[in-house]
Amino acid sequence: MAKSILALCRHAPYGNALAREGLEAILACAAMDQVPSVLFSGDGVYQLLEQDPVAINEKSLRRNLQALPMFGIEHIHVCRKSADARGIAADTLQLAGAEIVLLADTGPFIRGFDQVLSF
Amino acid sequence: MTLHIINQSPLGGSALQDCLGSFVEGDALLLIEDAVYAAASPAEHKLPQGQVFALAADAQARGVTLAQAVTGIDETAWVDLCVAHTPIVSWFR
Repeated sequence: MAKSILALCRHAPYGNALAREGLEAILACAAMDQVPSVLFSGDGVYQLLEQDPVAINEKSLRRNLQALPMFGIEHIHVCRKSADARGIAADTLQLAGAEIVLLADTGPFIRGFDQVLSF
Repeated sequence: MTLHIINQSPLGGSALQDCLGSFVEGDALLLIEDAVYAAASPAEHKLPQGQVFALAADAQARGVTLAQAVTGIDETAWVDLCVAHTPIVSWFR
């Protein structure tokens, strides 16, 4: 029986490699027919903001996030408290081709998985 | 039930706060490495009641005396915890 996997993304893009590594791990899992669920919480919600990192010589992480639906990830789970705490209007978050699912309480959601990868 | 593992000091980062935000009654919390500093005063750091563990060796190394409410464990007991809980979530940075 396939194991259910959750990628828990908790870090902002660019400041360290975790956001990029998380995204690559998600795409790798999905490419191996182990489509993970994805949850952005804490600073991870910053990954969903519009980005233009050309001036810091970085590829846009957000543009790479847009590949998620093509890999079978149609629901992007976001911790509402984390967005609110950071002054991000959770309801305006969107990602082309995917549905943003706002979670009021991430604990029960995380509990439902067999494997959790933290980034 | 989820096993949450933290290795950051309580005020040294957001790991403890983030973890507590996803902690559900019945989950277990394991403090390792620098997180054992929270085990000296669980109430002050708002640690949950019940299932709170700390790696005794890490606490001893840092001169932290575990509070009554925190159970000191060794690596073998850590493995038992991992076997008994699904999923295991690491709050490492």
